[in-house]
Amino acid sequence: MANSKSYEEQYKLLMDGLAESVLGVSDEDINAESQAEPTPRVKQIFQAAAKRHAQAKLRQAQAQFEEASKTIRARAFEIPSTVGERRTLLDAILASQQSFGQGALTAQFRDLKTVSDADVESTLKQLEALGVLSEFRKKKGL
Amino acid sequence: MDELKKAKKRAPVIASRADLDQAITALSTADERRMEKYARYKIRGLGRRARGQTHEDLLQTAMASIYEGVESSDSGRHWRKDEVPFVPFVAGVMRSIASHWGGAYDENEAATEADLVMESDDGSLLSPLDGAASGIPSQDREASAKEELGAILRMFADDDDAILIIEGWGIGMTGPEIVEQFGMPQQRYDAGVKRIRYQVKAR
Repeated sequence: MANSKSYEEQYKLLMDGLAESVLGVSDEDINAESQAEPTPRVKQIFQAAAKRHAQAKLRQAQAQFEEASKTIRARAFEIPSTVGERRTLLDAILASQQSFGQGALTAQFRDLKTVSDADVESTLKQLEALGVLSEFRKKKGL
Repeated sequence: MDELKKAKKRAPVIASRADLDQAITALSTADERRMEKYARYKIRGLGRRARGQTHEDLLQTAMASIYEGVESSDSGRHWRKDEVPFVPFVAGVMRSIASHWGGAYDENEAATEADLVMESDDGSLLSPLDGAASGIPSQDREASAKEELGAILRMFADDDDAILIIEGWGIGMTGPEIVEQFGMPQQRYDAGVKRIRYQVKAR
């Protein structure tokens, strides 16, 4: 039979034909054909792929978190210098958020007295990074 | 009838991570053998174009792409579990990846050849690859494929059906086309394919 395809292409097509033929073989026949072969490792390979994929996603999320933290840390923040002033500012922001019905933020700081000074400072920095602080200042004319 | 229309209009159900985990756990040994052999034949067919990737790499890459599809609507492969069974779906993903690997090799080779082309003193372009057009297999790959094909054909020197099937596949015919165009009964075709698989192992 005349064939204008290259030998390499013919060989590939032959292997493709064999690959496709395997999909239609009955369980009985495929097991009989494979008797002398080692136990397949497909499940293991798939499970390993799933694990690697999940780990890669986790690493990606960690890298994004690190990047965001670095950005926040590197930024020059305009927040009050004393602890008392910082608490007053956060209190005022929380009160304004509550008046807009944004309870999720205020729920975390229901009792501001129990929140550490470090947490107050870091929350203000995060709010500034998110633009909430500057928005608040603009509204209040501060 | 209305129910049928509604069912047709219903959005396809994309498998979740739990669906995938479950489908993998439920694979029978026969399913595993099918997918392993499928991957092995695809890699064998790629030859050097596989660039050293193994059948395990093909299986692994396919599954990674399917898991990616679970988490993203615009990347990875999406298993519409109510439309396609798991094994043919994974085979389809492997088919597409293998085709991509082969194509990427050819493109790269064509680019390499383009890089090697030089201009002669009279302004004409000279290629060290004997002026062969891009995409044509290099001589040693072609010689190696010719040798492998010859060895396979010799195995079936006394088996007319097997030779016909091999030649049919070699010109790009599918099983149903071979059955119809060569007037070969389906049972004879199936038996011939089985004999070829027994001799040409999915190594």
